[in-house]
Amino acid sequence: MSQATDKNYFDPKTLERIKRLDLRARLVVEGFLTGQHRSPYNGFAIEFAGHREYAFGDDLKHIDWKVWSKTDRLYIKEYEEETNLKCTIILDCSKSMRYGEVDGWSKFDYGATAAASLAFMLQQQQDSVGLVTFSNRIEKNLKPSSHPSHLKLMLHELQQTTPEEQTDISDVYVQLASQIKTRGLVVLVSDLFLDTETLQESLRQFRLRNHEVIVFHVMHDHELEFPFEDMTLFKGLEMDAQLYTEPRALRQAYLEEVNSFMGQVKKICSSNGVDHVLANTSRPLDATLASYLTFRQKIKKNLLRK
Amino acid sequence: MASFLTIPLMFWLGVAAIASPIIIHLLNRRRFKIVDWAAMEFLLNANRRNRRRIQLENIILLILRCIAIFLVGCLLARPFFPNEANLLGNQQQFDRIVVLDDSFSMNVRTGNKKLFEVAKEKVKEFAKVLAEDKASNTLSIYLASDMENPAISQMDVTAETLTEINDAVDEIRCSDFPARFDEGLRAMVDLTSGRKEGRNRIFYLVTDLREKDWWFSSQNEEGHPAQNLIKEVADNTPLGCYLVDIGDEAADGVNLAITDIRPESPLSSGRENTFYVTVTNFGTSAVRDVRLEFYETADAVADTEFISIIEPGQSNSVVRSFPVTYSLDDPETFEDAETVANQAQYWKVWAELHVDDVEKDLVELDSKRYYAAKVKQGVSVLLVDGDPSAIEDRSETYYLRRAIQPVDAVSGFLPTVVSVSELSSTDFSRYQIIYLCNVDELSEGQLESLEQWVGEGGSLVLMLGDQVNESIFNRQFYFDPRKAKEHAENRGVSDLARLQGGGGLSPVRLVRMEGDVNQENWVNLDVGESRSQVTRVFEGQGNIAVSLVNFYSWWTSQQAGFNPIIEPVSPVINTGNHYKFGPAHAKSPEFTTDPAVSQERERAFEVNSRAIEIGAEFVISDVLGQFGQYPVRLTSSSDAKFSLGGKVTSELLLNEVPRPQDAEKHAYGCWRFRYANGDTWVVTPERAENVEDRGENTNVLARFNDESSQMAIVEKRFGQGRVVAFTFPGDEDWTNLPQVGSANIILHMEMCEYLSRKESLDSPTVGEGISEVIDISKVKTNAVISPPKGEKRNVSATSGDSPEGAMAKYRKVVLPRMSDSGFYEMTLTRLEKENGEDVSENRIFAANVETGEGNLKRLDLQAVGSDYFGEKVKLIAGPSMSTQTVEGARTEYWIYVLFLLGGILILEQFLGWLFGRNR
Repeated sequence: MSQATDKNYFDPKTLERIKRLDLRARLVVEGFLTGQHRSPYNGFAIEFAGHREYAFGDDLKHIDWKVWSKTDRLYIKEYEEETNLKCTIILDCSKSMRYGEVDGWSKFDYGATAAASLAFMLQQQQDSVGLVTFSNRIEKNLKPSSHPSHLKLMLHELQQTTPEEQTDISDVYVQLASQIKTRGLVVLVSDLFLDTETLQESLRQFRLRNHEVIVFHVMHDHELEFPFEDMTLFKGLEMDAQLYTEPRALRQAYLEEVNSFMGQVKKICSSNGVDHVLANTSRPLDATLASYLTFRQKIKKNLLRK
Repeated sequence: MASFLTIPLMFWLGVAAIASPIIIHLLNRRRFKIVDWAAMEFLLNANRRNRRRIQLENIILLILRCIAIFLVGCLLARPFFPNEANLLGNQQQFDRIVVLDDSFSMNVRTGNKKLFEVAKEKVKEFAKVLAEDKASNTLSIYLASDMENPAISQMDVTAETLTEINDAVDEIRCSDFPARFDEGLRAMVDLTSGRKEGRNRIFYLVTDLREKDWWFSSQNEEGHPAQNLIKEVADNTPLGCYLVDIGDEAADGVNLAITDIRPESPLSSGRENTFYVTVTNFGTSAVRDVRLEFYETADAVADTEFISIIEPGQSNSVVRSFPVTYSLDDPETFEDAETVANQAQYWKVWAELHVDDVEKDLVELDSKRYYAAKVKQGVSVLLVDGDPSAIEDRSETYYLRRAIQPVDAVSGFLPTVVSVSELSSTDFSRYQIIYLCNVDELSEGQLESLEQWVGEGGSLVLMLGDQVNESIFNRQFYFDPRKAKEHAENRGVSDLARLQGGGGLSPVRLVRMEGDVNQENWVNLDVGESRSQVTRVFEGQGNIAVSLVNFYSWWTSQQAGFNPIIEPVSPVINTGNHYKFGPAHAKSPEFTTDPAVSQERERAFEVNSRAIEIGAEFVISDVLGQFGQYPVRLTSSSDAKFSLGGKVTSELLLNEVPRPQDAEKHAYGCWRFRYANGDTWVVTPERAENVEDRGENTNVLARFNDESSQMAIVEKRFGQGRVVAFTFPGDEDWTNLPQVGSANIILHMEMCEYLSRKESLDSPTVGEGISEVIDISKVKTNAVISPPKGEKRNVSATSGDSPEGAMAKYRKVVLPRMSDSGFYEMTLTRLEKENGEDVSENRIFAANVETGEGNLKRLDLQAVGSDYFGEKVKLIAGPSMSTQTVEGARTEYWIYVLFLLGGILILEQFLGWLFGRNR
């Protein structure tokens, strides 16, 4: 997606002014919906999985009678997801997500909006959405539900939450996987500032439970570009460390670090079959979502063709 | 080494300055942004990897910046090395250069001594102090009047040499020269401008600081040359340039001086010659009873005159007249009148002034003034006869010769008559005045040498009679042959040469002869407003001479300056027509357009008319009268000027309303006329840019009283000389002037008197030279010159740059400069011996002190301000000359520091960029 078309979407700065999260989410979703010709509902459609022989106790309504008429055998039509899609959005509420607060639009704001947007969108297609927020522990766990009031609850929850605690991620991530019982879609919205082994382990846990995982990797533009000039005292948001330095002198080295981190993350994601979406806070959120959805559709089609 | 390292306060200040980059760094540390940073781990990792490199780079930059600040401090301190001698532990050495103002104003009395003696005392005291000085000193003493020959040149000043120096100083005497600081100081500038050699020099100029030597009026923005030069000297002598003012030791200028002595006119034998003597009071109070003594060689007894009072600042003149009788050899022994005329006798004439109160005249030297009177038998006049005759009184020059040198009187003029053919062998330079009497034509060579002679200051009189042909005359004398030639080459049209008139010798262009051959009608002279000495005999209302002198014929002429030329603008296709252009009443000559050349646009038709006078009526008509008579009126554009009758005007009213259909201004101040038949004509005044000054050059001395007031006597300046044209001849063919009483005599005597005034009557001043021409066919080449003071000198005559070289008959005896006031006598020995003994002849020259030098007014230092001589020149009073101390010579190296600083700053910037790029 080119930069020029980004202008069609909402600017984060505009969204920031709209305080109500539901309105924000609606704007984001409808913003890109109007930009899309095809319905995004397809992206999360329920897929036909296959047939299996009838066994005692199966519900008769699932018998494929057309197959019975041809083969005289009883087969059960099986779907991959028997009910509506169950999606759990996991939002990182650690202190590191607060970065960008000073300028007004923190990573957490961005991530929360993304979560709300996704929830709103899924709700629109009658899917169940749940929300898990965590910092160094799991703060809130709203079970997936497709009830309209559930969405309001979620949005309220998102509005109430402020990233406070330091993330001691290694425990939490492992916990996360065990918390989400229902198999379904897991959307992890986080800056992933944790050691890569933990990330690897937790993603593996998700995958082992047959969750489909999408990682929305929220990064602030400053973190990616490091545009500081003057002498600066950097205070760690999560770490109890500070560094007084001339940023220009460190920029090159810092960027190398970040890039290697990003590379590792992407590598871990792909090795686990996890979609990695880089959400740069300076980019319009709807654009990020839309481009990801478009990408997903293409993958789907390619898979179907094969 | 630089002194700031040795002064504790300065040292610590310097250290603080050098530390300033560190301080700035530390201060900067306090001003920073705080960022709550999420990706701290990456940052810490990056920092861990880079910390050492960054620290190293920063330290390098810091060091460079500290060095830069240190160098700036060095620059401000202007560091220097002491000279090499001092580095090696030897003594310091100074070259002290003293320039003494020896102008004659230093002769002013102060108490019992002259100011110059006081100055010498100061110099001796100074030398004594130097001899006791620890440092080694050399002393040079120059005189401002003679910078090439120092009295003492770089002599070591020690106790042993002190006597020698004192003796040398005692021998110096004050000159008669005026103060020429510009020359002296320029020599000083040359002397001191060498960088390395001039390092140890200290310059002292001992002067009386007279206003006339140093002061300049505020209008002159460039300043006084001496003022500027001493500033320059000061720039070249960093150790010190002192202006030692000893003038305040003397009373403020009370001085009387004879500022001029000169004859009224060139001296000639046999008549009263008048001298003027001018006495000036340079003081501030009136002086009474000034006695003036007047001496001449012939009469050793002084004539005494008294001037009762001379007001301050004023000059009074006394007139003395006395007859000069020429007691020369018998004129018969000379071959011709020319030799007689140039034979001169020299007299010494001088004047002295005396006042009873000595304090009223502090300088003696200018109380006496000399004049070398060169008394000639007369002014030599050459009469060139263009119409010689065997019958004496029928020759053209007979009456002129009689007028210039009447039979039984001493006129002071010596005429020589030659014919035109003899002219080529005549040396013009032996004459002061040449009359060309009714001469029809000269050869090219004659004309050229005549022009050169006039251009160099000769006086030419043209007497124009019936032998003269106007076209030849105009070509030879009126038109500028060089311009004509140039023009013809450029345009390829020879006729256009005639456009370029007025550059020649003659002040007038001849048009034609006028008058009554039967001598029944005549005109008279009208001198009008021109109050000239020459025509004084015809001046005044009802002057009988005017009415008695009749002119039956004369030349009509145009004055240089306005020559209307008419030319067709559009090509004249219809050829063969005859055109006339001229005054309506006159018999205008006709012109034919030539079919061969009429196609040329520039084909010019000369308007062969009399001078256009105000009110003259002009016609343009063809022979058939088709155009009828058209009065023409010319109005000038603002940039074109006409000279009419000596008057410069921008409007030329020829007559009433123009009748041509259209008259418009054309380029170059021309006028274009269009006529009914379609012809267009342009009236062109001669090139506008030349008109004005030529009009100023000519001067009409007399006119005829005919209806168009034709010019009779016209004068013109030509180069250094003068030309006077008479539009009538010198004989009685056309006029009865020669026969009317003494009018002719007075006219030509006054003319010669007037024209012979060119000779310079000034006396040279001290410092100028003598360059006397001698004829080595008559005298030996060796001359002996006796100056007023000192020994006689033998000088050989040289041929100089004469083209004849060693064969030159005339050679020059040269004395480059007269250094004392008084008479210089040059003794020449004749080649012919009389009775076996050498015969010598003397020539005398007088050198006088410059008049202005007698003005003793001092430079008002309060009025001109303390920075008049700039900051570097130290103005000190005489007594403090020997107490000035001077720091050691040194080599400044700030320029290298500057380069180094530049290099450091560039390096700093480069490294900053490089480090920044790598990060």
